[in-house]
Amino acid sequence: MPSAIQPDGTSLPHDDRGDAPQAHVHWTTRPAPSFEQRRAIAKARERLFGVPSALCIGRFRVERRLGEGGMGEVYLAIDEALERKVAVKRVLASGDEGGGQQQDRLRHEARALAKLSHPNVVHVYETGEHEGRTFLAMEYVDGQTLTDWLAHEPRSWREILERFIAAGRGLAAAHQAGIVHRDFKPDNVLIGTDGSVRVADFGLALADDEQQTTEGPGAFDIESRLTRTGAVLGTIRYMPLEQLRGGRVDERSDQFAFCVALYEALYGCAPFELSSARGRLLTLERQRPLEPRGRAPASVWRVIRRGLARDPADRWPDLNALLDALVGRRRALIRGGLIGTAAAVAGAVLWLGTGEPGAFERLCDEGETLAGIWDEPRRQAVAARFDRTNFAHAPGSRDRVLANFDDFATQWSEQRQQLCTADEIEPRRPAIARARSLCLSVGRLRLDMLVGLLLEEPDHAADETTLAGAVVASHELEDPGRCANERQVIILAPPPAIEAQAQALHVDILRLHDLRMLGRPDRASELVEPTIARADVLGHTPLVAAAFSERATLAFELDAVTPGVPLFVTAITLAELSRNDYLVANLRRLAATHVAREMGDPRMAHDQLKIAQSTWDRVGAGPRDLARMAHVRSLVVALGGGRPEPALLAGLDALQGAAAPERATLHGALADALQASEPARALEHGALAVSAATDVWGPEHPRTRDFREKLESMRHSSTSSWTPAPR
Amino acid sequence: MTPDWQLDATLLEAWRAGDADAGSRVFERHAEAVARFFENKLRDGSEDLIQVTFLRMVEGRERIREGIVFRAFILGIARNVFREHLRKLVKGREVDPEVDTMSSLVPGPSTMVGRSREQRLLLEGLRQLPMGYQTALELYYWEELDARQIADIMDVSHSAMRSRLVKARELLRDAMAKIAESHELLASTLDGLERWASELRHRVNNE
Repeated sequence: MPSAIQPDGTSLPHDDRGDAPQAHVHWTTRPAPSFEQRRAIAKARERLFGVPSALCIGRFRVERRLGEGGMGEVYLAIDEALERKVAVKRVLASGDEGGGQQQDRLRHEARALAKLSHPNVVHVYETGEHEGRTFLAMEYVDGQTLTDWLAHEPRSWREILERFIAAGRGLAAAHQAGIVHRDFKPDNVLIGTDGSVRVADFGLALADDEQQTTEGPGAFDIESRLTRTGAVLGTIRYMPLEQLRGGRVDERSDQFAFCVALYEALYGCAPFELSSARGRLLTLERQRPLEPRGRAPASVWRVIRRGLARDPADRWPDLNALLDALVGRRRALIRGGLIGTAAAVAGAVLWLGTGEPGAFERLCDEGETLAGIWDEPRRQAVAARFDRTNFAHAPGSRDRVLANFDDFATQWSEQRQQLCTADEIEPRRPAIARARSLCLSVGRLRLDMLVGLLLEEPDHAADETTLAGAVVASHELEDPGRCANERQVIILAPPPAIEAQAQALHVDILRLHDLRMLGRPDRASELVEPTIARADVLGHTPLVAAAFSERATLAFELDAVTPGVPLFVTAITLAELSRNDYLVANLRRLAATHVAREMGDPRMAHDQLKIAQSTWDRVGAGPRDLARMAHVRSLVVALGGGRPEPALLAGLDALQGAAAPERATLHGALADALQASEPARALEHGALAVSAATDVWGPEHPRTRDFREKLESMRHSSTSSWTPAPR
Repeated sequence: MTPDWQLDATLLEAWRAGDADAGSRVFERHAEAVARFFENKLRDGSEDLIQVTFLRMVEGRERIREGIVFRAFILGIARNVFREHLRKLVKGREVDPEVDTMSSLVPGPSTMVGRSREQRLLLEGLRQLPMGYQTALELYYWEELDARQIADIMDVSHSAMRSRLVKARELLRDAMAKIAESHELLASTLDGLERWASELRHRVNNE
């Protein structure tokens, strides 16, 4: 019998079923001619025999196929009555069996769409039935999809944001009309040749979800569901968890999809890993979106991140709120940040008028990063600067300078990240955000300035000192963490009207400091009077105080006698006036040192020390501040005839094992203090001082050499003094 | 020769002599098969290839040899048209029908919409086969041609075509197994395919 059923003589396996039942074949192997096939045939017939194609969907004559997706085919057709082109989509229910319920819902949605008119939504002209299927006749948009637009050439984040905000407006308008898109993705956003942005294909994914609910939650199997509905990874990549689970889908699901698409467009990668349908589900259940890297503003990321929340309740209340956050953060910043003095209001008006970004935006949105300031090329240039010399300390100094700059850069970047990705902009927050931004911005400019000083053409006579000083200076960069001290940064922030000048001046004042650290007080002296003059003219008290403080400190260092005193008094007064507690505390400490060392007045020194201490208590002293204070206290105690060791040991405790220049100084002071009474302990501390100095400055650094020589001489005699003058 | 063959041959002669009505009738008799031949291989533009196929048939001088099924004749032309189109599509790259698959040459969905799950699986499975195998199977299942007729279209020997069909079915089963969402779907698709083939053979045999 098998041969009888194989008239062609082939002996195909499995064909030899002579007893094959004549049962009804429940599906037809040969595919029935599809609509597209019929269209192609009609078109070929028209060309061969001149018979005009009569293939129509409703009253629209079909021209050619525009595209095809999971939900149906789209044809370019002609509306002959109105003589215009239309895009006609034949919408499919799942599989062959378009259930009545789905079709009803689809018709309902289609009618709602037809009522919706918005510049960012592809207009649905009419809907109807064709061969048992719902069709939609829509506005024909001559252009490209957002996907194509993004792929065509590199786009700036501003351009991208602009397109997405426009698309978002369309989406939001649909939401207000009670329509959920359910399948928002760049493929469904059309960019016209006129630049218009329109969202298409609303609500048409509905039919898929409808079917799921009939199977009940127990029948849930994500992979088969996704396959059956024709969804592929390209579609699930935009779906939120609730949609993947087959749960309730609403406007907030669109918001999630919108944010995934925007994230991908801005950062060039997916916010969640995308391996398989099941893998994606697990990822969404467990993970937060990946922190993006890219030029796009951190404040934009903050907005997107909320839209990507796993729980719909944690997303933005609606899409308009999200869009307002994307558009309106600049306005919010102005409203909240600049209310105060008349100058501030004037600044706000100016800002509004020009649309200039504020400090926060410059820092967070416009790529104010350490690129070009402390990056690989700059790092190599600094390294080369040391390597070109043959000073014994150069290799050790180089390594420490690089490491300290690296540390600063890391902390600075962390602070920036923390500030820029902070969650909320409360009414009062923008002022603080601005002040913190300005603080970080100064830190950045200061690093740039210091690196610049190092890379200057070397002054050969002083070069060894400069490079040794670089290590000292690199230890004295202000901790970027201080920019998180809200009270302080608010006090120091200049009014917007003088913001730019104030920042430049601030960096110049810091230049005086850094030149002093680099062992070039001579150069600082030349610059100090013009700097003071500029500060006076600008009149921003915290900066006047800082300039006077530098002048006093410089005088103290160059000529440590009487001229320093009135300068200190002025500087302290200004610092207190400007409520700059850090500065007050530091100046009081220096004053106590000065008075104890040079004037030998224990009572006055003690008073200064007490005020410095209470100021530090208020502002919060770090380990190094405490260590320095302890050192001064030991001087004051010794001056009054007491034992300095307890204070010095307390200072070492305060350092908590951290490698800091103060460790060397304190051990040195202890060696000094114990030299007469307990020579063995003194030698121990002397050795610890050398080891600490080696740590922070390097083995061949001049400061370390000083400690080592003193240790040597202490081993032979008992007369030399240990303690280098504290700053 | 069958009356069908006689009719097709006569109509073609008339069309070649300028009778558009006769041409129109030939077209209506075979356009669907030609369209089907292209459909699962191309995303767009099959109307062009349909047109070229019929034009080439009418402009050709070649007489249909007796013993050649008319459908095999026209599908042979369609195959040539398709191969030329493909060469343009891949911009001069050599296409090896024994190796290259349509899913790799023309990625993206074909006209899958509106089909049953089994049909979608079958269509996608076919697209995963090297072209020569895909074409052979489609002709075998859909155009109801036998191995000898398919061999004529594809310019291979009868025996080579027989072993190729065996191989093609193995490949198809493997390809579908890889992409099937469930074992049940694969089973029902394969079962349907075999029953179809079997029923077909019965019918032909009983005629």
